[in-house]
Formats: sequence, C-alpha cells, structure tokens
Amino acid sequence: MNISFTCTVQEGVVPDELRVKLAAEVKRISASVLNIAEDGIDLDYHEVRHGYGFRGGEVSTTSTVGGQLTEAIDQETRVDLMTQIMNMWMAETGCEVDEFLVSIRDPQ
Amino acid sequence: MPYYKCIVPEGSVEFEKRQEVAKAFTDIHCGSTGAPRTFVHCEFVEYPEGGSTGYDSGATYFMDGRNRAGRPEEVKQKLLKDLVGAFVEITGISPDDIEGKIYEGKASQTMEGGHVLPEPGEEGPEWYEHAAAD
Repeated sequence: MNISFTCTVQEGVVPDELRVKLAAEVKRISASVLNIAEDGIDLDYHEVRHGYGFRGGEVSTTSTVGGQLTEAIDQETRVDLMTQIMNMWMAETGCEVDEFLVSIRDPQ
Repeated sequence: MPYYKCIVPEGSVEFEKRQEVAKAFTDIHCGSTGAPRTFVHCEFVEYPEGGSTGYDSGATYFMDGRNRAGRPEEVKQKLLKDLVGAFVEITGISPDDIEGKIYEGKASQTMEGGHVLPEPGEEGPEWYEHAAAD
C-alpha cells in the first residue's frame, strides 16, 4: 500500500516556504492514517499561473490535494484522511472551506 | 469537482476570453447538473509552439473534463457538446480544431466545501441551498 499526491495551487496564493510544511504534514497525516512509511510517499506541486485558473467563473484561489492509492481503502478511512488533510491545510494557510478540495482515489 | 482543463497553444486565448469560457462552462455545468457554482473549476494549460495537447488527439485544442460518475450517457454527451460549443463560439476557433472528453470519478472519493461529495441524484437540500447562495 502506498499513496502519491499532486497538490495544485494558484500562483501567489500559497508561499513557497509554506508549501514545504504543507507537504510534510500531508505525508505525516497519510502515513499515520494508512499505517505506511512516510518516506515512501511522493508529493508534487502543480502551480496554476495567475489568470489561468477559475472557480465559478472568477479567478481562483482554490488549492487541491489529489491522492492516488495503490490499493483500495474503506470509506471510513478515506473520510478520516480527507478530513485531517483539509483541517490541516485550512489551519496552515488560513483559507476558507470553499477554497480547498481533496480527493483520495482508489486504483482504477 | 467538476474540473475542466483546456489545453491550448501558447498565447492563443487571452485573459478575457479565458474568463468568458470559464463563466460559460460554469453556466452550462450548473444548468445541467444543479451543482453549486463555486464547485466548477476551470484551468487553462498552454503548450509551446511545435508542441501538442499531449492527448491521443490530432486536434489543436483539447478540453479534459473531470466529473462525478453516475450521470446518464445522454446527459454526459450533451454536456460535452455544449462545453465544446461554448469554447468554439467564444474563442472563434474552428470546431474541427478542438476535441474533448469527460472522465469520471466516484464522488465519494472527493471532499469539497467541507463535505464528501454526493453521488449524482443523491444531493440533499443543502446542495441546492449552496447553489442558490451563489
């Protein structure tokens, strides 16, 4: 069992130094919830250029964390993981609940 | 979710047109599904001269949509047709220059607005209250 993440952030919304901490926290939470090794979790950032990302037709400030699992998990575990990542991200960045999306996907 | 990604040649769609497309996509998606407007995401990704969209398509432009699974096929096909049609109308490109596809994922594997997304057809009253607020 492992998981890899792509975090999508809008240019100018999440400072570089904070991205390092967010990545470490996403890995720490995932390792704890899934009971896997933290150092085996991959995480990449994708930055959307200012004026190239929109939400509801307006320039977006939304961040997304997309996790891809190598094995399926039960829904209770998934909701726990998504909730912990969301709460951490909002606390660290100060974003509103409407400015964050997280998905944890089973393998196809 | 939904997340619509438009892959376009570098410099081919200026900001005003990008925003117009994003607003049209929001209108079309919400009109078709009743989803809250703030849940509709649209991103533009440019590729450099001599490059390609990166999809198995010979088209110059590509619209990659990510939606909740579970809608009837005719609804999905109309949604795709309307989205691509809006892109063509706003940008002025030829319909022959764009292709698109809507990929689907289970709603229960995504959390947005603080809630696990409902499957299509299982939205509660709060879903529509959120939509009305926007």
